[in-house]
Amino acid sequence: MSPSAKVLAVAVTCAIVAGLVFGCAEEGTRPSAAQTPEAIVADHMAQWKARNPDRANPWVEEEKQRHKIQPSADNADVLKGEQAAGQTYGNYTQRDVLVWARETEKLVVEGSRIFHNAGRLGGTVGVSCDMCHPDAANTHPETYPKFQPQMGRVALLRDMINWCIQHPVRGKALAPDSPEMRALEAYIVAQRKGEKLDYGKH
Amino acid sequence: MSSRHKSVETRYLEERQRVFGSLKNLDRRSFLKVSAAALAAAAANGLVPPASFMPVSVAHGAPEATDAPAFRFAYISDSHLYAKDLNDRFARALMRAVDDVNNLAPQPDFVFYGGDLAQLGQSHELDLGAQILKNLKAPLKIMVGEHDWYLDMGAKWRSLFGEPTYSWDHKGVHFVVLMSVVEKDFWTARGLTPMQRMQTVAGLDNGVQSSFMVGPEQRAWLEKDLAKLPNNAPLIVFSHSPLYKLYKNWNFWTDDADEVQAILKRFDRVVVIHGHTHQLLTNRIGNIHFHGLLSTAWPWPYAPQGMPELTIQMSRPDPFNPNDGCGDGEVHVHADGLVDKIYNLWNRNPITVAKGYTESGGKKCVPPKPNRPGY
Amino acid sequence: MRVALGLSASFLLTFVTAPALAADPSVSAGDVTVRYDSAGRSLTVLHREAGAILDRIAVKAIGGDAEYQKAFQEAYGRPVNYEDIGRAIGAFERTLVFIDSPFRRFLEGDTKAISAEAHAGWDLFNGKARCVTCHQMNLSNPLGTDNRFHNVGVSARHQDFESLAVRALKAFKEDPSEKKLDELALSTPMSELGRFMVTKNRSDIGAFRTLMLLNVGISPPYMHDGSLPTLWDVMDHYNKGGEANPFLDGGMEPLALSEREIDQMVAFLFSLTDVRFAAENERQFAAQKAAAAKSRAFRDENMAFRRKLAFEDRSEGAKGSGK
Repeated sequence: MSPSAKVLAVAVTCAIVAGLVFGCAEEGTRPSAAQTPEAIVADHMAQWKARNPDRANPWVEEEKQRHKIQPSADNADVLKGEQAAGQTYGNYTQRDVLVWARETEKLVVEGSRIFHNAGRLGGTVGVSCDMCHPDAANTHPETYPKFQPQMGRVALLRDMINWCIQHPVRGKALAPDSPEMRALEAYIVAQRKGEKLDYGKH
Repeated sequence: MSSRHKSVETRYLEERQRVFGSLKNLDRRSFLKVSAAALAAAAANGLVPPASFMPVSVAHGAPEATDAPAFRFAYISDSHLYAKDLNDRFARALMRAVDDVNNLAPQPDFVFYGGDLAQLGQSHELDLGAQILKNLKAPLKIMVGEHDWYLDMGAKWRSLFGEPTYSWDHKGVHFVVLMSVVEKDFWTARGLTPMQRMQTVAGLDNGVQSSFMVGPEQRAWLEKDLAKLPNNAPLIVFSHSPLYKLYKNWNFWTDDADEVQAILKRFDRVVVIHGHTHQLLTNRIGNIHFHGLLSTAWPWPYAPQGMPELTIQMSRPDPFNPNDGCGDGEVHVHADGLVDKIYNLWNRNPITVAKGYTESGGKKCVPPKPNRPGY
Repeated sequence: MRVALGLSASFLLTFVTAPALAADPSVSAGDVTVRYDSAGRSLTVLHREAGAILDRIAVKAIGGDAEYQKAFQEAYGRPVNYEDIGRAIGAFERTLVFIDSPFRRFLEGDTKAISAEAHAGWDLFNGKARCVTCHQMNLSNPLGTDNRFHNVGVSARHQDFESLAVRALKAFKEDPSEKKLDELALSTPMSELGRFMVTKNRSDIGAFRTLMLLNVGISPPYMHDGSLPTLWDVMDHYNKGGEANPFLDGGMEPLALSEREIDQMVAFLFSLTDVRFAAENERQFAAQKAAAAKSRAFRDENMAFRRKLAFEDRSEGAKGSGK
């Protein structure tokens, strides 16, 4: 199957599934033969959003309007190369690239939402991270691990995050694998895209 | 006693004896001259702390001394108060600044407050700030910041402090206070509540808000207010936003800076003192010398781009000391209107950005360099 | 030696286990000529203030003894002199090292070495109580000090800093001799200006070296001037954020520690004593506990729990009081 035929098949399947799941067999414009598959998908999505405004939660777009988010790496190169033809492993498609980018972005954007919100940080004094670190400036994730004598040990980024949460933000320390901590780390690291690693730098 | 085997302590005491001994031999008048020169040298090297007491590092050889200032005023800025029982630290820091200023001897001519007294512009926050500032012994002159304004568009501010834009004269210097955090309406189209509008503005990096500006009405007012002044008049303009364009993302920015600077262009020299940036900041654009104010609440990092060349950064604050990078300070005003800007950083030695520094474009009276600059 | 200078054994012990480091880091330990007794006064400076009498007495007494003459010649290759006396004392003191505490064994892996209370105290030390910020304690630096100078407000309780500093400056201008400086440092309250008297840096006013924590349990009274009798008093001092003054270290904040947490902190601090002094440690713990049960003069719950803020009274009081 050619790539564009694949996309068409996916798009039509999505539309049918969406129709079955959400029962949109009633109103709504039908795809015309002239529309591209992408346009059909976008059209159906727009129609669904219009019918379900309370469920259409554009939190990613809203957060990106408020705060600059560094984009994740451009993976277009994985689509090139010659070895991939006809294989399962080592063979990547545009869809993969899209999914990687979208899911990564969601965690980073969620981190931005928490970073900028004293309540979600669990803080009790109305202080959020951005009050000292606008756009995560001066967080320097690229310098961890480093020995921090005032913490008595070698700190990882998450240790410093927790120190800030406990002291200036005056909240409870987050478990290192909690969703909030993972999101915060993701956002902070993302904002320093391109900086070279220099662990131990004070 | 064998002088061949001197301990470190003996050597140290001998050196100190040499230094003070050279002063002992001067007659009183020469002594005063030397110590004044040394003091000036210390000032030139950014070593002079505020006037209440001046521990002098005796400098050997004095570079160009600065003349004595005509008068002094103190400043406190950017306290970002919450209710005391929500956030004790910000209130405590403002009280500390008030205590600092009250302990200056002699007292400054007045105390200037640089804006952002409240964090979210709430009535009880502004009341708390006004109440704390009432404890100042010297007279208070106050300026508004965006955190004070955008909850109720200045209603509470006006009731407490009067009009945000005004001017006065003091000992031959003309002072102007601008409301330079005007923002184009971004809230009506989005249907934001007043608190949502305030919280948007309160986010330094929140891109939904508009850029700060002075606006055409105030620019017209400014032209009129300055009309009678001759070109050589000493002039100091207070503004919350910097009145130049440093970094748009954080509103270290005034959209109509060029227009405002044009109004100020005819003067021999103008000093602009601004809040909002919570850091040591120095700039010179033509005839205008710009100085930033410290915050009592927290320090901002330096902007990733757009930094003025003249700025010698304060060392990156230590997060383990919540007062580091914060403080208050003084402005020593000279007869020509130029100033020595003193940053009284808590738990650090004060840093002086002398008039000779901005006057010489950064060649003389260079303040000390940071050992931990931002990066 | 000890007779000549009137030192006692426990005094020597205090040297090593309490502020064993010279207050002025420019003086190396080997020279040992600037030492602080528990009242915070420099011994050598005392000598000089007395017109260098004591050092002449010392050299006369020690130099007059044939055995010492021989020993000094062997050790230093020259006759007895004042500097070498200092070096000899320093060399002896360096043998008095007591770092084998239950806590150290705990750090090395014996989890049963300290009690659960002390363990909770160690967590607080690194967490809510924030002691580790200045009393740095780790395997590379087990002393419990960052070797820096901080104003934690101890001297602010007794003195008026502003006027002291103004007086210090005036005195320097009028008589900048070192004799005058030493006189001021010792005989007037100006020694309470701390590190400032050495560096003349504004940021050093009222700042004293972070004292080390090894064997802290058996070395009362506490702080540079011995003004806090028990470790419970020390905890009270920090719990309320020290004492407000214009040069207070910004790291001094009210900690909101409960009584239980204070007890855990004290238990931890008592686990820092070398096992060779275990008996004395027990005795001290009981004695301090009894004293603390009777009186906690430095406790201020309103400040500790942030109901009252530091600088509140100061900023309000100044209005109209004139200065």
